[in-house]
Amino acid sequence: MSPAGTADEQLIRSLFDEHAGSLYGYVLRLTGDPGKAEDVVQETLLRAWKHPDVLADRPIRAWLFTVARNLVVDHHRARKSRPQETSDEALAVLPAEDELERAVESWGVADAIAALRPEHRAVLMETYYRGRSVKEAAEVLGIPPGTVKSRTYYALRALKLALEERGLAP
Amino acid sequence: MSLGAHMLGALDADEAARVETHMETCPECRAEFEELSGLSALLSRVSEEDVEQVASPPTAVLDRLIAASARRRRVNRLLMGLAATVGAIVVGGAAWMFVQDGTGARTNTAATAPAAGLASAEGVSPQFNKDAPGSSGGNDLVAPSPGPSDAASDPSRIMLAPVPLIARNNGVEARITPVQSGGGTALDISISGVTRGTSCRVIAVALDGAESPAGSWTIDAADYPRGGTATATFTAHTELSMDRIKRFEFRTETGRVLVSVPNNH
Repeated sequence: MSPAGTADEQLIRSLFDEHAGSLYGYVLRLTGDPGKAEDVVQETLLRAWKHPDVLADRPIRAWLFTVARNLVVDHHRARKSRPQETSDEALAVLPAEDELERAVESWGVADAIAALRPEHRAVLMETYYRGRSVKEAAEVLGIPPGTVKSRTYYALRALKLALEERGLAP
Repeated sequence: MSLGAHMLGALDADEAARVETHMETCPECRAEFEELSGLSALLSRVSEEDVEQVASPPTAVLDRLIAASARRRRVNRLLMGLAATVGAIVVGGAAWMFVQDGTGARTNTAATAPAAGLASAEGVSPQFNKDAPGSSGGNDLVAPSPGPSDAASDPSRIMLAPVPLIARNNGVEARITPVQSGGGTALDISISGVTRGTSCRVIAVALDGAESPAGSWTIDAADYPRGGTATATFTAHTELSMDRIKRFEFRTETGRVLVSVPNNH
């Protein structure tokens, strides 16, 4: 493989690693169709790869989500064979601009949580998302309650830091 | 240390009360607690499923992306070979004719295929595609193409090149290089002459008239990094195989046909 190919592949891999999960989650919410969501993620990342200038000088997250959103909307419109009849339905699925912004933020939070160390993520999952008490979480995870407490604390600190890095600090 | 668990409401009632009492007399803990509390609004915006989704991205997409980038490189190399050949033809004076013919009217495949290397005739400069055909830019028709001479001098390699379909209409030029991909067709597309801000989509029209959307995009500023008219390139995909496709249509959001590209393959 040529050096250029390797560089391309690296760029694609890093785009994928950083954005594919949240982008896919977002598009899946919009379409409800895993196959279509994969296609949209693929096309979105391909565009980012082909437009390196985009990666350089704007918030890439917002750009990617916008492209993906537009693809979803366009696919929806294109499915209707007669364009003049589409306006109402197309508008119904078109997320508003502030919704898009919110989605970028929310998926950024999901990213930050997913990127925590596994033991930190695990305590947050138990104590927050599954609503377990410290005692219950300790049993589920097989660690002492004191460890659940300290890990929860450090998990939240780490999360705060990760959110700040993403410009999502509360 | 219990502040995090307290913030998440995971402490039992006794311990929660003890933490509250402690914070009344400890400004440091109080401040720390308030800082952590800011997180709860953000935590509430995502679900456990969201986090799992993020942690398990669709790896099939990665494979397809890498395959697409490799394919694109191959196509570019082959087109560069074509470009080099066209350079030779242009010097002989033959190519000029069909470029003239092609302006304003629709031209297509067989005759125009080598014109892939002549995009510069329309002032097109492929910004994103540094090794794309026609990267000599400008309006100089006889500019030597930068293609590798070995590809150009070997006719068998040119024969293997996926031949682009080309059509023009009212200043819009579309080029589609179809590559079979699974049961369907991947389309490397470049289009120039479209006004910035135009939402376009490309549709594959089957022999029986059925329409299959292959992709869509908005020509935005990113497509014109140096201003003016440039070529936007992107990849689309249709589930139709090439032998079932009659033509491709580029349409605006409102359904107006920008340019129609017949499939002469």
